[in-house]
Amino acid sequence: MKEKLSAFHATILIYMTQVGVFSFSLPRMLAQHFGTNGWLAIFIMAAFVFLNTAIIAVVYRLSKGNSVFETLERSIPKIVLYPIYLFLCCFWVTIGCLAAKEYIFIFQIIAFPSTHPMIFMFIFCVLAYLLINQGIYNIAKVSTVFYIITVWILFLFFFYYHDFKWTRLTPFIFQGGSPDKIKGFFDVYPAFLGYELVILLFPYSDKKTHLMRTAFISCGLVTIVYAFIAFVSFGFFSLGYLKVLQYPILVLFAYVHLPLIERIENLLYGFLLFTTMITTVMNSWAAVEVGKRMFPKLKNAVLSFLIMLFGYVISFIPEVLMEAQRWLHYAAYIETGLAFGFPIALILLLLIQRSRGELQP
Amino acid sequence: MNKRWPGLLLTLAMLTGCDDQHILERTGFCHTISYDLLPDHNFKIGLSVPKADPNSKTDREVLQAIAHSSKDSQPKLVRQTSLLLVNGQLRNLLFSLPLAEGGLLDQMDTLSRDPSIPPKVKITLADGDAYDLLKKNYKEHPRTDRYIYTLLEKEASYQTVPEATLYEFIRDYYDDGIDPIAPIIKDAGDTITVSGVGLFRGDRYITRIKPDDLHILALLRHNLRHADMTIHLASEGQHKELITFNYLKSDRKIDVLRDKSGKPVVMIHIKAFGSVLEYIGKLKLHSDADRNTLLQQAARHLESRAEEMIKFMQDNKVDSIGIGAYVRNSMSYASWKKLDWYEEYAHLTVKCKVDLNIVNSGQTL
Repeated sequence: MKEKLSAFHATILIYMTQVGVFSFSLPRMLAQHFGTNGWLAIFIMAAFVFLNTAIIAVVYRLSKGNSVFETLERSIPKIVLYPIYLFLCCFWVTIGCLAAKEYIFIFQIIAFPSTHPMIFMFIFCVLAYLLINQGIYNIAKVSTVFYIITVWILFLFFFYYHDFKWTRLTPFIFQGGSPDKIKGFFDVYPAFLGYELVILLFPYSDKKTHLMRTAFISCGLVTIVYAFIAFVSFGFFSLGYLKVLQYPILVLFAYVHLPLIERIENLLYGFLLFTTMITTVMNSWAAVEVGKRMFPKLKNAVLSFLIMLFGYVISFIPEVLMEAQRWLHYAAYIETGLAFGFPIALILLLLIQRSRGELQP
Repeated sequence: MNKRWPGLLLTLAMLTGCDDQHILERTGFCHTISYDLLPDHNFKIGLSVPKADPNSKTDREVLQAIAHSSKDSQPKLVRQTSLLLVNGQLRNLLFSLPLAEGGLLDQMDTLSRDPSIPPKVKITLADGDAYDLLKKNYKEHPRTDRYIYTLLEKEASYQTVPEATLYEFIRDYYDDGIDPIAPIIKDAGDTITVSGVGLFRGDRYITRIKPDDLHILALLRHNLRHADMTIHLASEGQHKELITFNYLKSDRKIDVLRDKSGKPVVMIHIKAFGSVLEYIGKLKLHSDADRNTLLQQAARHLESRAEEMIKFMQDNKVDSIGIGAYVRNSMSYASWKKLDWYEEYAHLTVKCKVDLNIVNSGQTL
């Protein structure tokens, strides 16, 4: 019998896909866009994340857990689908590699500033390629290991207890931020992205996986973690200071001072490589999944190699951190649109198929 | 094939170490940097770098350069030493008072931008020339940079001199209800001594609290955990009355009330507990009535000195104990933004209520 994802592994996999480079600047973005007590905006965004997950759950139910590509190919001719597939394939690997490139640029702020970033990027891509080749079950298992390696960092946040002041939080809600809250929403929302890839996990799960339930749990987990990090940051830094900090998480790490060792931020930031790695791997894996529909006869290893090579070449384009950030922001806008648009389109398609009696009872 | 991958990856990972090399023996870990403002508006930047070389006659290098900014001084300093200078272990930043009077924001911006500088680096003000203070060797004390650092560390651990780090300074600068502070040190001949705490308005040094009043500032600014405090109740001629609290713990609470005209009235409540290991005076510590009288006297004395200090801060328009944050939190956001806080602060009614308690009075009655 073919192996299926376990509920636990799937939860961790989705969680790890969601947590990535956006989280490093999350408290600052919340402060800039939402102002005082901006951390509360996390819960507003979480409501949309849950709504989006519910839409995907409808797709899951209507398609009875079958591959979304089969649903598409049942009604839409391949000539129409191929350009869409090609776009999705290129787009997903690009977003994965841009996240990796931004991580490397941030890493170079604190370590190895004069090394060529593409050397790190090469090693990153090789690691990602090796993981993608192992298939989704092994990616899920590896992400669980990575989760264990990184999750303890959250406990460091208790280190800031002494410098945390409730008065710095202020009693005001969303005051002093940018007036355009809608833009703020779209700028911060990508921190949650990654859950939408669950739509590609349908064929790899069975009833025991409770795939949609695990997706809801991981979104809840991400919400709690983000709200906690942002809450601590607001009480530790104050609103004014948060607004000028490029990556508040890095300063939080730099503040950790243990009796025998200090300046451990390089090490801590190194651990965050694992969360970014899973984000990149899952996006590239999604690209490979789409690629398989276009080139079913091509060997998986060759296809993954070509896709990662494409991603590597694309990541040459942003040469500085600001460019990588800008590119990733634009890509994230599209991905947000896709996260909502793709499942809605699928629901419409499935309803049409059901009315035509094309779906098996 | 699969067995070759780990080897290849390991080789690739190792290769990254061939670039960006930092060899320990050739590296100079900057310990303290001093900043002085020159009459021509340039900066005199001093640098103290400990030396690990056992063959060297001195245990540190002190370098100096005149430059337009701290980063501008870097190449000039580097030219004077065989060591590769790095900031990762930087412990203290020493600013001269005239420089601090002009504002430290530019320096702070550069320092906080540089990821190699730890956010816990200390901010210290120097009475007189900061470089001269750093350069001077004090015979009976450790290396001067280390001497200053350990002196401030010890004072901070006893909570008599508040700790001021880069993180705290910038945080209080950007927060709109509190102003930063930093300890002031001076050369006292054979020793270095803390000569007060500098009070800032924004990033500009305005005035100072004298060393004798530091425990009052500490009580007002935060909760104490194990401080020592001597209260002089009377010191006229030969008649002395004083009480010393050890291991003093205090809790500070600030309430903002409104008077009949709607103006804010700030009440600072301080509740403190400590052991009394010294009392010089006529009252008896073992007598309940005497002890209560003594505590009442000491509390009233602290209240009047605290109110005097707050008045002094109000006159200088420096909100060093963070009253603004509490006033801000007591009103609407729009009213706070409309308020000219420093003007309001200067005329604010602030009252202090101190409640002292003796946990024990040592081994004798």
